[in-house]
Amino acid sequence: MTLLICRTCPRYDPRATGEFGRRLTAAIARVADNEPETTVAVRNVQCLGGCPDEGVVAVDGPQKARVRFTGLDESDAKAVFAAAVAHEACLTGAPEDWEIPAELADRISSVTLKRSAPSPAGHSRGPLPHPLPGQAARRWDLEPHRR
Amino acid sequence: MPVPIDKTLFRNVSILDSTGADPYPGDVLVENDRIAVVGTVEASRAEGARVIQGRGRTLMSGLCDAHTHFTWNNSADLDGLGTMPVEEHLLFALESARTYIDSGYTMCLGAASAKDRLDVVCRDAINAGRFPGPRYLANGPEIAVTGGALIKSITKFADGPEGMRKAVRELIELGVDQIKLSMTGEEITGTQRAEDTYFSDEETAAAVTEAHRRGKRVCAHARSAESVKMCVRNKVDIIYHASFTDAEGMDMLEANKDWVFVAPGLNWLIATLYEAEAFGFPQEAAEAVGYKKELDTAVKGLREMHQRGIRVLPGGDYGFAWTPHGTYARDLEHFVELLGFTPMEAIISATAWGGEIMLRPDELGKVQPGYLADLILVDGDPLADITVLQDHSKINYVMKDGRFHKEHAGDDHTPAPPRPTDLVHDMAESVVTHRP
Repeated sequence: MTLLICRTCPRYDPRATGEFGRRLTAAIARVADNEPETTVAVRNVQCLGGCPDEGVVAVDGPQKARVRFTGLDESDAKAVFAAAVAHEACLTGAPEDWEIPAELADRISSVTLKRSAPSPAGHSRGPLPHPLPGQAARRWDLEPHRR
Repeated sequence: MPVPIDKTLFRNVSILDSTGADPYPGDVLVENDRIAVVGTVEASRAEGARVIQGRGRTLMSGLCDAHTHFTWNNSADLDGLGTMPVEEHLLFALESARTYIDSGYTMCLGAASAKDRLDVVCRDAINAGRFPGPRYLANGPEIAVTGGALIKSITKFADGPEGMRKAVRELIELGVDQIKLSMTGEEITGTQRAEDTYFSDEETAAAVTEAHRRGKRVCAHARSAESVKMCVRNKVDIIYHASFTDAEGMDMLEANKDWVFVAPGLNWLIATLYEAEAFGFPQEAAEAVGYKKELDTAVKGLREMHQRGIRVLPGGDYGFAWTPHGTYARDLEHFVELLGFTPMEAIISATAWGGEIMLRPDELGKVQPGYLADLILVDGDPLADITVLQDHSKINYVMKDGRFHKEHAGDDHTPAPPRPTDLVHDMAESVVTHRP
């Protein structure tokens, strides 16, 4: 199982960058010390792209959905460890397929699928009406498409 | 009087040589800037060498990113690539170069520069030893036709064959190593569709002919089916994206696989579809403009390219807020998980084929005697878990040209003495030494 911890958070505060990763990695190691039967492979990665809400981790595994959590700190270490274990134990990694610790339930900021379902007939479904006809490239003003 | 040889011995390493052979235990001796011996090193040959105790760690070639933008500045919107003042932009580009080599990337192929000379200046500064960075083939601003630019503020416009010839000549005068054509749209622009092709055959042919006449290669942003075929017909050397390659285009790629490279920039599609909501581009919006369809189609096509022996290389358009610099090795995970590459094939595509796309196949990308000593020592087995290459703390050593860029603080060794250029670069040195 793989637990990815951002080593850059908080990206937009250069004086504190890396602090989150150092603290959470140390806290996870303390949790792991109390769970000698369980192994979690920690990867300290450069960034996980959830930066505006700093404190970012993800759980990942071969052929499983990568699930990213944001807005965490070292006090969430136990829940993060439990999430990594539960993610590993399930088949798909998709959030509906494993029990997400309650502390993290509203912290999911992305779910990256490894095998997305093909489009009908596997190819073009014809031209889509563009949501921003004629608008020049700018910050993504896509309110109509938000949840 | 014999010239002293600078020697480094990697002892007891697992050698992943990028020939396709399984890793094997042994030693590797580096003499000056090249790999001298691989496997068993006689004690007499290694005499005087600085010894790095490998303790079974993996020694492999430095990695290659075939689709690099030093000047993409981790912006959360496209316009941000163009609005940064040139002074800050140069600093950012140099930081990107350092991030690449910090990440174990010793080879990068520039896929466009946001301002005229930023790539060229970075390349020259790296080559002069003034700033750390990978070997770099520099690009200029991408060329687009009127009405076909993805981001106007970073584009060089040209129309018609004569316009293309002039634009190529101007970029070559800047000192670029290759030319970038922006041939199709990109959905996130809000105006330019990925399946629309803006270049004509005549324009493509003129640009390529002029570049090749001057010994420069051409790469292209080419997502549509027609653009891929246009690239192959007109001998565009490196095709970026190739998302909507159709059956005819696939056959053309296969028939020309001895010279053409494809570098899809896969992480861009994945992260833009699934991971950009924090920056205002939610998955629903990405799907609505077509990124899910494009990803599904691209994955299917790229898997087929791989099966047909077409060289598909990692390199992912990194440098947006949700695809930030330093996360480059995600591409290798995608190659394994989505495209059906074995971990060994993914590593070969990022190393040995990296040497090929850098035009130095006999010097770069393998751990073989005579090759340049661009090496990384990894605490882990990338064949067992390709994600280990995403963790910079596991990339214990990075060597380029036989000199260490990064050394592992936890190892017991004597650091090499710094060169004068490590302390003060040439221009400053001349000022210092000429002070009264």
